[in-house]
Amino acid sequence: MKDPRAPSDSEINELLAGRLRRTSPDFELRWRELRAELAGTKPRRAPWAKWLVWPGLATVGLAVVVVALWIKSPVPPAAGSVTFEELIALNDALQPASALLDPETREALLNLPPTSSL
Amino acid sequence: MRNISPCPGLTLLVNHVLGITALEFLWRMGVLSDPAAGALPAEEETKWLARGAGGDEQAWQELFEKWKKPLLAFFYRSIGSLAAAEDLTLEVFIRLHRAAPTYQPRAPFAGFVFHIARNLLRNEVRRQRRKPADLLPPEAFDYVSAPDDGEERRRAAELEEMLQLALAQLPEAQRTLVLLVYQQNLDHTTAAEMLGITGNALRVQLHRARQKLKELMQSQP
Repeated sequence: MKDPRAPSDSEINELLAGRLRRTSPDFELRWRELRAELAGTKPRRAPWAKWLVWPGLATVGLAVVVVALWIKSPVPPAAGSVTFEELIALNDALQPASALLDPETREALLNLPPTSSL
Repeated sequence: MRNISPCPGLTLLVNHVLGITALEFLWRMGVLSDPAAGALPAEEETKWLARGAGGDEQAWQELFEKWKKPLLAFFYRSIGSLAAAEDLTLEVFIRLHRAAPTYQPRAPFAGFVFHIARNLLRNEVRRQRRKPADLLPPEAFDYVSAPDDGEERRRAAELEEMLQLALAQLPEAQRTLVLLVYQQNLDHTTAAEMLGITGNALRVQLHRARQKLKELMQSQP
């Protein structure tokens, strides 16, 4: 059985749509004080730089990460290149060796004409 | 040009972020906004707000006259205290003053006002537990046409108490939704945008909230 106290849909609508009939004098007085304050104070315009704070911070953060990664990553050696230690070792090994050709012969061989039939 | 970065993906990401930042900046500066796109018919509140920002006291009064009662009703129904509702209503005008220089009417003004109101309300609810301590009598509202001491008065008082207690038990999101639509007559599109939900979701949630409110009112002792 339906409860006679139960509110109908129209009653709920009416209640929800209700506005206060009047406001208190104290509230109106506080408003007048606030109104004078609002009218007398220029709203502070947010500096344009403020809009860039968060995107800017994110960018700087990312840039730091990129630079850190870039600095930390070792430059990969080129394929087939020798290390400095290998060059030293090679130099040491070749130090006592004597030249196979005397300078004149070597010069002559280097300046052979390209028409050679070899 | 040779890419010397060991992480080309990250470089790309940084470029994207920089691009988005630049676009946001241009958009904020109004360079990218097309004045014809999404333009709304100028509401009187927009003019009042602009005049108010320039120090026009009368403009603030106009804004106050138009919005004080809707805001008071919204806050009172939400937190059940007229004193707190008055504080929050005045706080809305302080926020409007702060927002005035950058306000752009991209949505109906009502949506903007109640967006501020809801944020304030959430902070207030977080700050103090909601307790409907000072229930207003039905005569305080304009839905009672001719208050008397008879049956009508008794029924109005009963319904008023039922509603306020039921609203107190409704979850905040549902309560706000019901109030925005049934109390403030916000159109569904504006309310959905304000709450960050789709129109369909709003209809479903509104139906549920309304049902729940009715059940809660019926279950009041």
